[in-house]
Amino acid sequence: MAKSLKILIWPSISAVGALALGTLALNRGEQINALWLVLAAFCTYALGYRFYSKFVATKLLALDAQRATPAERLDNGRDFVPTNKWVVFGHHFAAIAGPGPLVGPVLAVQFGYLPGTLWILVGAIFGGCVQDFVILLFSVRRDGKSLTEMAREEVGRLGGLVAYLAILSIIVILLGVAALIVVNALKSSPWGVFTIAMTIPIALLMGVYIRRLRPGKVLESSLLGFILVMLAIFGGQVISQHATPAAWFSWTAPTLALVIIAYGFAASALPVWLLLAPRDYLSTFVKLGTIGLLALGIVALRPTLHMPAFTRFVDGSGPVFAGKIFPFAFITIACGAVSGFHSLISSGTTPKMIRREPETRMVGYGAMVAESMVAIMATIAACVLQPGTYFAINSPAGVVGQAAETAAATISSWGFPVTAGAMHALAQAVGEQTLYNRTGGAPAFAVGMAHIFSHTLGGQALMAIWYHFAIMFEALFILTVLDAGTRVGRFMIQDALGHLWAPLGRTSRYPSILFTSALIVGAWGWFLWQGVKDPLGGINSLWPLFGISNQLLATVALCVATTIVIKMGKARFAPVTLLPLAWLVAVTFRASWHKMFDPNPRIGFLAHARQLASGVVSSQEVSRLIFNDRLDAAVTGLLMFMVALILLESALLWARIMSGRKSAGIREAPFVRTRFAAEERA
Amino acid sequence: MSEERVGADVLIWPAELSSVSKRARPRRAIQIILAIAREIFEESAYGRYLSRANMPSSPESYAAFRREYELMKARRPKCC
Repeated sequence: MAKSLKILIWPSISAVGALALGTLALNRGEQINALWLVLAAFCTYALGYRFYSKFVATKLLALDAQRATPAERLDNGRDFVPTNKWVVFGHHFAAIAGPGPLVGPVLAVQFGYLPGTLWILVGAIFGGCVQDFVILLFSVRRDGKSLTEMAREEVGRLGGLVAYLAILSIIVILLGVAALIVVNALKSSPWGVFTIAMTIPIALLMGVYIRRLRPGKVLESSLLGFILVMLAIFGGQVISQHATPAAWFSWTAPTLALVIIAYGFAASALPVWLLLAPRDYLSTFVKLGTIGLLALGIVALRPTLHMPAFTRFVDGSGPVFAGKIFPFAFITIACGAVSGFHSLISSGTTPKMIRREPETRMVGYGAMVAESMVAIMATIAACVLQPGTYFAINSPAGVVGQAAETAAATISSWGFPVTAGAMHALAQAVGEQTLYNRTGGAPAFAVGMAHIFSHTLGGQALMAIWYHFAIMFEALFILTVLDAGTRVGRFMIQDALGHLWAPLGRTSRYPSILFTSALIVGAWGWFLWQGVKDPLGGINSLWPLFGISNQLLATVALCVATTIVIKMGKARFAPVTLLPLAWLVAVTFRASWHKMFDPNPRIGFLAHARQLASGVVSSQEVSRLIFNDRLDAAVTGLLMFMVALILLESALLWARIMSGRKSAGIREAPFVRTRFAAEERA
Repeated sequence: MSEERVGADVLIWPAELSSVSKRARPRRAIQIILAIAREIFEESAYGRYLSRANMPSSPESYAAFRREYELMKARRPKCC
């Protein structure tokens, strides 16, 4: 390429990005095309990757191409395997991309498209990508150690304990809220329940195929499974059109919740490999395929965004969840901007596969950019809906009313016109009885996705198929997150209880397995049950809790990263991790405070408990709701206390190191020269 | 050109797609995508197991691989 052309590329990308962002930000009163959003995101990510990640790589981390990675030094062909960077990138992306970047942005759209979009872009470039990148590199330099181990060794014992508790709390709350999303998507939906139920025999068939017929041919069996799932979706349509079988699969929310709790327990306690592993493969296959399809669909359709840049709910009175943009938009969107959970992946499998140290930039920073793009696509999917439709789907009955006409009138009175007739027609078009009160984000995303897909492939006739494809895709991979998370949580509890009484820690001892499985399932099952019974839909209480716990984990990760940066003698570059840390601390503290003490009963747990206690109706149900509120407030307080603890311990350590009162010994693995560099030169 | 192990296979791969001729790029891209898929779907891990254990692929080998692999995999969280 000519040198002059090369010089022009980055200024051109900057100019186009600025134009796209300006169009998004300054546009008022007119609907704009989704491609502006795609363009703004693409240019921002390109600039962030090219310049900021390079700055972090060279100035802060000083990536060393001559240093052997643990994958090379400890290569055992099992977990430590030097692997091509594109393969690690794909593997890492598949591990970090879950339901979070799809659900959070959809919920945050209640503020309009702009707040969420800006947070996704800025949060990812300066926060999430940096966190994933630095934790990956620091883990690579420590033989692939986990975040908890790094926190204990680099920050202190308290840091290790907080990291452990943060991981456990995020797993429990995540699983509770993820299960609630599935319940809200599948309740009273025979088509959806049938399709998901059919994945059980399909997975068993895949298990037999992989194990007996064609050992190890997972891709083949996943393709076969995918074809069968598509047939199951068509089968679900037939089921839903006949009264008797439709009644068999039409389950209420409490029934679904109990079934999911039983499923989680079985997945943790029973040797059900034949079901779980193939379903995991199937879920990954569908997930990656659907994300790719959605990207193509958006580019092909170039849909119009009907949601305005800002809605009236920036004042905190939103029906989807209560609270103002600051801090609630920033905890609602975690995955896609900054997600603490990623630090577990960045210090888990991935560092053991990195072949050359400089490749951590592409894998750590780059894969998070890709996930952030998924969050942008989710925003687009929600914004292509008419705002009235979006709010009708996402508003709980406790806010807009139970009857269709009442709900439509309430939503229309907010300035987002919708009619009961239009909602009924939409429900018919997607093959559901109703779309009201489908809180959780998944159904709204599914309707948006079905809209995009049906306009690019198959027309309105396939709207219902695409909707149920989207629901199946979300429910399937949420259920795999659920069973994997339950097992991980069970191991964590066993590890801890093993210190109290050794037999409890034995992962092959059946009474211990049953006991600890019951503990972890009981913990997330409690949150799920609370959400199902919550008249405000559950998401209003649980999603902020999930966001706070996720950002707490990001706080732990960034404290560890900042500590290591200071110990490396690079304190002048510490703002790279310190600024996102400061932002997350501000967000987490503010959100926690509101969730506990805000006088508005829709926001503050304690205010809600007081409101219930002062009501005229007093029953066992009300007492239970009051107890739930108080417990949620206590959990929030505990999360906030843990943020304060890790922050205090880290800050004291930084002060001691920078004042010279403590030596800055870091625990990196010794330098060994890589043989790959010499091989490449040869 | 660098030699990289991609899962179970030992392939001669260019370090970057840009270092291959334009005509060969689509083929390389497909190779990379397939390698990513094989790693994600654990076919590569199975291949490595077979190489390490010096076993042919069979239902018994796969069962043994799963036993070993599940212990490792069970502690891996899946992101939200």
